[in-house]
Amino acid sequence: MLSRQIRHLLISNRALSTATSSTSGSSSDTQRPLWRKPESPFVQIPQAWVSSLETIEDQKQGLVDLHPDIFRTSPRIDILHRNLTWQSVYRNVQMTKMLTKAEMPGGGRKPWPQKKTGRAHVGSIRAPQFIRGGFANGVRGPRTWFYMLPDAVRIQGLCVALTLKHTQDDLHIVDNLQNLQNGDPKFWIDLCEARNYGYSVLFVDDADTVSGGLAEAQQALPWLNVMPVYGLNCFSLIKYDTVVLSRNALDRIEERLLGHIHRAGPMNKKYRYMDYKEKILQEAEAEEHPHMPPVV
Amino acid sequence: MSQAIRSAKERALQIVEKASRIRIQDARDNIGARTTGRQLKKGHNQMGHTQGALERAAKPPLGWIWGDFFRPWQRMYPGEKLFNADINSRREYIPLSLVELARLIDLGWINPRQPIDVSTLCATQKFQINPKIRQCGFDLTDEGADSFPYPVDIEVQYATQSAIAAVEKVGGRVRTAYYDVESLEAAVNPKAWFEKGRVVPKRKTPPPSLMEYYMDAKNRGYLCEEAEILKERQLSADVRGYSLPAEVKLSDKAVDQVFHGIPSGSVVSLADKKVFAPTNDLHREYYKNQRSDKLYS
Amino acid sequence: MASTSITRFTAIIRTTSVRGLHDRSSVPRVVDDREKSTAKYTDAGYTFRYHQQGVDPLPRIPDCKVPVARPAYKVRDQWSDEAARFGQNDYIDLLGDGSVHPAQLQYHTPTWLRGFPGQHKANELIKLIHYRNLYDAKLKQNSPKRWHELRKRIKYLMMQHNYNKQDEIGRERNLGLWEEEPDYTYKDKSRRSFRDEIH
Repeated sequence: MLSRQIRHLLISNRALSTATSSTSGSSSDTQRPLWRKPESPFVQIPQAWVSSLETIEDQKQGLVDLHPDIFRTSPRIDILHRNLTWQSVYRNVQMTKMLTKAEMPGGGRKPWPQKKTGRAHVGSIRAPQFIRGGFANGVRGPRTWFYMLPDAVRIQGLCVALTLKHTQDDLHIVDNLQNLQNGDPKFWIDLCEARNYGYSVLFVDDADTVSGGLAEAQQALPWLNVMPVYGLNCFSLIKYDTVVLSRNALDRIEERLLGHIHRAGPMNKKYRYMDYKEKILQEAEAEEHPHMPPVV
Repeated sequence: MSQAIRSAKERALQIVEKASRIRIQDARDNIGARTTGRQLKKGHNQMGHTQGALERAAKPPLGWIWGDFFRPWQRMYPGEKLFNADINSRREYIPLSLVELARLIDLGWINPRQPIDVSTLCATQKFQINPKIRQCGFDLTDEGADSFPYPVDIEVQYATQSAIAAVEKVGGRVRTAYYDVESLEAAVNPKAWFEKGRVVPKRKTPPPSLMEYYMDAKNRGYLCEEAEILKERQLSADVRGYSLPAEVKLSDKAVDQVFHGIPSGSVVSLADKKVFAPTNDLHREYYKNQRSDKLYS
Repeated sequence: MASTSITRFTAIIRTTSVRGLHDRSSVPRVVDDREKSTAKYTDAGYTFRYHQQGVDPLPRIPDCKVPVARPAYKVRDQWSDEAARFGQNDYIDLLGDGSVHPAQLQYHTPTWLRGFPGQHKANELIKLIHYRNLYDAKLKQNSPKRWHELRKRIKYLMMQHNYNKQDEIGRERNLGLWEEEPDYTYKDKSRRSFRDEIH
């Protein structure tokens, strides 16, 4: 539903984008207050440069403080591994279904008498030892591997991924991603080259849709992509060489993650199908055939 | 950062800084995290002759110690027959000590200037109450009774005498009130209740077995007269030897009311921020009558 | 006389020095390979291709022109639209406003399996019971053959789990499909008695 919306990012015409662009005066909020900053004197406050995407050269506009609980956590590669494994596995579905003896057609008659034929004693031509017989212990699809990682692990995984990106200088902050002037692919290739962004770049913005030059560029260049904040995930963070956050996205990510880190309820709240069953089935009602049950 | 003092985290990050870009294939689990200890000898961990025999064969029943399978331990020694015999049917109250309460107030989870009831306590997300498995509410215990500083107006389902005295000593107010299953469900998670569009239920009067408790002024039951409660307040102050400060009374909930300020029988719309009272006469009549909880005697 | 005393003296010196390096401490000295007694020769026989590198070639028919069947070569584009966005919205319940859960977004899964615990947790029997509970009426009405087959399969798996396999009830309660504690007073009436007292 939401994901489908975002696939087709809106591209507005360039005339609109020229009217609304502004690239100055964001260096004032370098020292921003961090919510629930750790009190320890040994904690280092990570910082990042804020720049603009209007020019090819990286023109720094100021420094911004990042929250150490998110951008300076301990680099738990194993937690990251659990997240990546979960992401690649949990959506898998196997639709294969091998039919059993009972489900194969025919096979009700005894093919030959039990004794005195010199042949094996068989009761059905669909017995599993027959070719063209049914399968014993076959794959009984549709089979899923769905499970949910605990919230704590997923939150920590995101923090670890962001930390790794920041410590390796692969995380960049820009003031704005919306309505950029230049949508020329050559411009964006030069920009990524000049700023040493590496092979692939992921732009993250707070808004659901992006318009202007960046939208045109992401249509043209397959290794350059835009994601909303809620689409952010460990796999993409690691897959893309460079991650570029807008200021709004940075604020939103910190707000969401810190909100979950300090949330009142338990972090180990179990995912229960019970709780979502009604909602999922209700949403899927349109896909159901009015009379026939789905084919298993 | 100085070179001398550096946490393990910073040292790890220093390594990460020098390393090449971390890719998907570099992520891996800790060594030994997924491997189980190896079996030293084949015979180990095989209660039967083979592993398959162990999986398939009949196992001795729970509590078997000696002899035939029909005499497990609990039948050989039936002395504890009635120990916890009613575990599946008795009421459970979540203990809430005064220390916990004070700490919740200290940390800002609870506002002491507002009346405290089940909804307030459950909104902190520190307690889970499941009315369906006969958890009936909170039990105010007296841990930390010596130094409870807040004059609160609290409504619980069960309270000990000393806890009541400790709250009243600083000018607080305690009431014990009964919630039946439906209204407790509404009180535990009001948001879910309102979003479903369910009617705010009417609190039923307690079942006969609990009637005595809630009509006792000693327990500050919600069903007894105010004059009697005042008398008991004074009495417990005299007995325990403290002077009684003026009582704070932040609100008065009706006997059949679940939420403060929302009459029973109404529907709450969170989107409009409105409470809709019933207009139908039959509906009003239904919610006017007092009803007794007949689920458990 | 003098010479004998000297020799005795040297002998004493030598013995003390040797005694200083004595070999009778409680620490076991390594005299031989300690694994030797337990290690058995497992490859004493003739080992084929002992010094031969690599993998044996598969047997082929000589001079056969028919190419060996193999899956078609596929070029996987890592930056196609799907691959570039792989994993998007997996954390939407944490990073979004909390109204959507990734379990709801499994559009590629059959509707009745969306968010249902995978078969590494919920086995086939539980999955089929879930299917039956959802579509029992439709099956009976419109595809009786499949209904019959489903019932046969469920019955077979029930027998399998009840008689031939270990009890998995403990794990099934943990799946999040049902309440973890059965409500004894409601469902299992046999547990109740008039003597159950409620305080």
